[in-house]
Amino acid sequence: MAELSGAPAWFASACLIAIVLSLVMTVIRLLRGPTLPDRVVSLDLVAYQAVAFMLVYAVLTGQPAFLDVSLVLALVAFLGTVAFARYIEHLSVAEEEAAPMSD
Amino acid sequence: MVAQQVVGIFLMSTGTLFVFVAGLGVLRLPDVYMRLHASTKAGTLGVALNAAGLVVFYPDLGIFTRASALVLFLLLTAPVAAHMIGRASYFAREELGVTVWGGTVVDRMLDHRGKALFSTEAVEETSDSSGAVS
Repeated sequence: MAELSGAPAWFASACLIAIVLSLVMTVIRLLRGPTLPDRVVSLDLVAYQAVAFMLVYAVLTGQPAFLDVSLVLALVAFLGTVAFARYIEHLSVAEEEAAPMSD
Repeated sequence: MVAQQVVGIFLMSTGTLFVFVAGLGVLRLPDVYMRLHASTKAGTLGVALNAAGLVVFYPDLGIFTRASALVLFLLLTAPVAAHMIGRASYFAREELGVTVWGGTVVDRMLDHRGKALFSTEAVEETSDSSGAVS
């Protein structure tokens, strides 16, 4: 579990920078995103990118405890996405039940 | 040791490339459903390749087990979450104002109100086959 050094450490740092650039692009979509599903999709991807960042960081620092953190984060992100999906779908069903039947 | 590090760096770089492509697709694609496609598939593959790179760097039974659990869980839950989001944004698209890309040509699903995703006047010659293809 030694810390990386030399060329592998440079490659891992480059991977971290690339993941952070991707995270910035996703956050731009999260802030701009015209509708609610856009924001939910980008929030889901933000969680995945945090998981990938922690995996690369675990390689770089040699601390496998980040693997446990990423496992828990993947679990929580799935639950959050499912909750948002239920909420969005409930909007449509509630609107249909409130309106009178047309046909 | 050197071969192990080369394989690990290769896996991690490929995974990072896929994660980057996922972020780029979420930013640049024109449609909710296309963004969902980019986010789910490329993001899952990128995280799985990063976990494989971690296992190659530190070959240990505990790390292998936890990384396998992470990848297995991701492969189980990412399609479910993407399906639920896509289905919800299809059904509630009028309430939320979701629009589709202008070049979309086919919609094989009708919602519970019997409405297609976009108007069917543009492709009138195929509209009498089943009702779902528009």
